[in-house]
Amino acid sequence: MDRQYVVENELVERYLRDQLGVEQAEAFEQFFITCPETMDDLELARALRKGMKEAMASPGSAAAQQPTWLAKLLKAPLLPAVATLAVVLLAVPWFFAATVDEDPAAVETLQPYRLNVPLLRSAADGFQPGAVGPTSSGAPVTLVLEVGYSDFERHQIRVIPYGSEIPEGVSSPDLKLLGEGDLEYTLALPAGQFVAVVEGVESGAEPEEIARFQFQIQ
Amino acid sequence: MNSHADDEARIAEGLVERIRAGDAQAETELVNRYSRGVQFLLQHRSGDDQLASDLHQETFCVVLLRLREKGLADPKKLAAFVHRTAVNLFIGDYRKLRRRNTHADIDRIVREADPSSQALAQVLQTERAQLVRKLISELRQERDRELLKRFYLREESKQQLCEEFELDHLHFDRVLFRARQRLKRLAQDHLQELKAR
Repeated sequence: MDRQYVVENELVERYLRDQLGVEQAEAFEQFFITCPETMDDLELARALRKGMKEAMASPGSAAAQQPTWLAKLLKAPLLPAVATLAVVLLAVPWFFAATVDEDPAAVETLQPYRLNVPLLRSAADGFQPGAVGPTSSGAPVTLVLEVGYSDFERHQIRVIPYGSEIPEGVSSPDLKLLGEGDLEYTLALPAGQFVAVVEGVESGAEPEEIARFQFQIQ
Repeated sequence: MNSHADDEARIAEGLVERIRAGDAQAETELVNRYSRGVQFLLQHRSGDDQLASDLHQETFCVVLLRLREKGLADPKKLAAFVHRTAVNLFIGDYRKLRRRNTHADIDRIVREADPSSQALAQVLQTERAQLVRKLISELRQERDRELLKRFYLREESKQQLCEEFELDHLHFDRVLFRARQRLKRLAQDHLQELKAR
């Protein structure tokens, strides 16, 4: 028996569910007492099973605490992406003062990003929010997202005109990883209102949306 | 024989030889090496944490006394011997048996052997509802929450869930893997906070 056999045959879950035969369970026990990695899996799986029961049974359970859209973003594994989205616009000082009449509630949820996020780059590095760079539409815009940590293999961003659908099956550019999980994307856009959707990607899986925000260029 | 088994056999031989020669440090190393797994399997089999702790203690007393006095015919099979001892103690009518009059130094070794090796398990045990609640609240997708709930809480099969959610097995495994890793990080962070206090 080795790790590969354990993983491929899902022995951790089957052991915890008492689905192994006597001989197989004993062989697995003999293996896992010598394998710290499998012990981690066992302890974590057991804690998830028991913790799930306890969490669901207790008052204020997770089921009763479904986060709102904003809370979900703020608490997502890419959590600081939401909490610390720093957008450095090389164009318009009021870049993030955008108000979208069609959907005022959505714009309101964006306010914390603009108000709370620190810049990733200081003025000394040549960046100030909305104060540096060309001011006309079509000029490059640099979006910098401070994301803390992310366990995705890579990230991509889709920028679409506000109100339009995200096209299916269209590849989108990767976000450049700056280090420490921070992401950067530079693009040129005409005047208008836009929605940026940041997605985490892993090979063989559908991209998962991890952040979405609106902005406006004049 | 695979490399894990090779490594285990080599380490086991060394431990058995050193313990037979009276090396107290080797006894501590043996307990550190197998303690976590023995505790886990006894908890799983008995469903009783206190009983598992008693049997865990008893297991290492038996093993260390045996190794000191006689060694093992096949030292490479030390893990199997430790496992068999734990299982036999569990199966036997241990509550009716008089506890062995073990030497105080063996008790000390078992008691004091690297408590940090089980710190994660202890945190997971004591704080798991809180940590799991936090984990669930951090999941990005409702689907992932539902998957975890149904897999761990209702014990639905992976096959069934994959079919229902139209997921491939790899994706399913990734959701579980991420959840476990995130739970581990939450527990480790919590452990660090406790140590800092």
